[in-house]
Amino acid sequence: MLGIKFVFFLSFLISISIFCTVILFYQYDVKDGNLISRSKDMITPQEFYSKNFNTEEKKIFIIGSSQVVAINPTYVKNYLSSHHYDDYEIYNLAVISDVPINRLNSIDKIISTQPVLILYGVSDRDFTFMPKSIQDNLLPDPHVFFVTLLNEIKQISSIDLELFEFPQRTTLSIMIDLMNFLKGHSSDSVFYENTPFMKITEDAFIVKHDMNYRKSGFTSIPNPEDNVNFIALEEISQKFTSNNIKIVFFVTPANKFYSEFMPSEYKLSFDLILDNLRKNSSSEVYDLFYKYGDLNIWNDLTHVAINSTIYSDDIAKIILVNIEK
Amino acid sequence: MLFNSIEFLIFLIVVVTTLAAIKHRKFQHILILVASYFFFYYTSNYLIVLLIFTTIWDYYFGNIIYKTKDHKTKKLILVISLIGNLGLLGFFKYANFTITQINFLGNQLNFATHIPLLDIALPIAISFYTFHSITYTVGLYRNQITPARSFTEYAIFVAFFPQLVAGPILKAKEFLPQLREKIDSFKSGIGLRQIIITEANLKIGITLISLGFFKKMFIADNVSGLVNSVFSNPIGLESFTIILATFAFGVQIYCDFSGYSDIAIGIALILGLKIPINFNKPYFATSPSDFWRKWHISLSTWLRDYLYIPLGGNKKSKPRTYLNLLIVMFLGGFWHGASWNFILWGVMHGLYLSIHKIISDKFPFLTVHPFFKTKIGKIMSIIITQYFIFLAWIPFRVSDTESMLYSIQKYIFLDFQILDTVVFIQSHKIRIMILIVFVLLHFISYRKGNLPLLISNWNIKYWFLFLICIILPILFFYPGNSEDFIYFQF
Repeated sequence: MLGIKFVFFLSFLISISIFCTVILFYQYDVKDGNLISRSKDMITPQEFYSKNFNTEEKKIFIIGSSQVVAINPTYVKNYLSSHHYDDYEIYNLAVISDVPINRLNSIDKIISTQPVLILYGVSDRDFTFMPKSIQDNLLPDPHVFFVTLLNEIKQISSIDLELFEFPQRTTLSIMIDLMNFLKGHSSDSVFYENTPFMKITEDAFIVKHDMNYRKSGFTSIPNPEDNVNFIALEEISQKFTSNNIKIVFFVTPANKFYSEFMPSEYKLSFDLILDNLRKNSSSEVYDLFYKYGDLNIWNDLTHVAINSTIYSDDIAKIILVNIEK
Repeated sequence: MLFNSIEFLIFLIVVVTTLAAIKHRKFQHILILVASYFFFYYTSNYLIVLLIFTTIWDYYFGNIIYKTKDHKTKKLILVISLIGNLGLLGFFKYANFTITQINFLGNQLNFATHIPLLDIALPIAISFYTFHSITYTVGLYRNQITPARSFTEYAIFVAFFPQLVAGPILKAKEFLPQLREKIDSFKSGIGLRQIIITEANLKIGITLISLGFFKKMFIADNVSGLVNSVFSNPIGLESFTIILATFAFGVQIYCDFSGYSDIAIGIALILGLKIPINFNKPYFATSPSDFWRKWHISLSTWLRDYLYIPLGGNKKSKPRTYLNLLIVMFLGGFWHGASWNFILWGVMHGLYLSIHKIISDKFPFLTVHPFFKTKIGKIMSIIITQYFIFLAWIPFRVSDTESMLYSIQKYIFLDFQILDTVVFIQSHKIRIMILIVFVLLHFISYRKGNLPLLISNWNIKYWFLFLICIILPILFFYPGNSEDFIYFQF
């Protein structure tokens, strides 16, 4: 008769194996004995930042969360070319659910590629996230050992370990793709040049009309001095500035049903963050928050549909102003 | 160290494996103690000194209480011991709350009081290990137990890692004898007993731990998103949305807390130690008092034994009984947190208990009426009781006064609007499905009795399949942001 320990470990092993197989199968293909990401346009941050960029090209990076992904790098590049700025290459480095404290981890890599301009899109959501409060530890903290070990494993791993860190996200993606497949919609990613970190599907192009539902889920935005993301954003700004890389901020746009339902206290807190950003950094902060509220260009309350050009147009103008300075 | 973390998994495997390998009982107990302190240190760092202080304090005073023959002196020493314990708890947990209230009152009376708040961290688990310790000194005072034979024995009781940070609250009279070597059914020896990991205990322990993780990681952590999206700003929302979120919070806190308790009980069982159950299907309670016999049982029995009974319980006059109930639940609410919303929650439950007692006293025939023994009668009792229980969850969850009052108003006075609620449900399909899964599973467990025991008695093939069916949803639907167990904050 099988022992309990053996049965338990076997069930655990089988479950982990099924889980890893499904996740990896969803994300990767095996070609010539190598693991290749299914979306050929998506590469890991490590791969992107370590690739050989053309030394002649002047790179402009647009960074932020999914709320900046609708900015079309090709459109912006063409706009600049039409104004006789032909030697610029635009990259949209949007990362889903990105927040400044996470983005801070990749700033050194971004700096190493020597861009000439950074456009950082910020939203209210960026400043609501609060990592768990950490008390000041007077004695050695063993937790640091595990975090360091995990980060080192992430660095050397060729597999995107974030898939396993946030399994629900991956599971939901699988379910959505499955539902799309059953409905006859394609879940394949759509080619979107120079947007390496986000999978763009046909869904993202759809302009949805019924935005008249209440956005719930506004949490709170801590004050700038207690706000870890604001502090991280300031650090990001300082790092770029001290490396002679110009950084410009813009507030990402929102649908009017989002901005109107925003609680007043929450709005005041967000305004305070922006005021402090203007004061403390030497960078411009362009405000697009209310600009397209009434327009029919929305995929959801905070995401502009990919094919609408007005957003890309305004960003292109901002870039032009700043490279002309 | 959260239970639902890789570090804890590694920690647990190392501790259990080492305990199984070490046969010498003295080293086994030292290992449990060291592991418990490491577990606490990992989360609380230098605040471990408070745990050690409480342990030394009560061990020392416990011995003096036991050796003292004079009753008045015994009482005095107990009072000193309690002042030490409760003083520590009061300072760290309630000092800033007290200062805030003094400032508020002072300003209301035009004194322009502005006492600065203290910059102190709330030590994790202080509410729990303080209460553990009190059961020891009071148990000695009441001659219910003999003192711990060694400091190690007592320290393990206070710091036992499975239940240290969020209960169940152990009572010395129940736990200390388990640590002692058994000579026969009635006597225990002078040493601590050997820890033996048996297959039977391993099976039931793993079953409980799996169910605990399932409740916490699959149900509670997923449902929390729905709850947070409503109660972060409920003003303007429809009644049915508020009710749905209230129900979801009830499910969240139950799965979170009972999940934790299951994990704690399961780990203890693997080590051959019994921790009392903390939940017994409270959402099928038929009255407020029945609810408190099923919800956070270790706290409610602690409050009964160390507060309600010393206040006179139901032995004095009827008005005094009702007052005792109110006082106990007021303090029970206050124990949960230094905030008016927890006090309100406690007072609401105090009112429920008192009113239920008044009705039972005034109309005793209702308690034995045959209608309430029928299926329909039971269902009605459950629905009415749970309506009020879930109403009380609103102040527990929503600390902002305006939001709380709005939510309560919408819960009680329905607006019968559904348009926004339908959209809300559509945008939370998966979480709603998880709630439905919970309702079904909970009903099954209500009908089947002791479900973990039932499952652990299954044939090994079916038990193997059960484990896979539990582990897979946890892995696939784990949100990734380890939500703290709700009761960690208390």
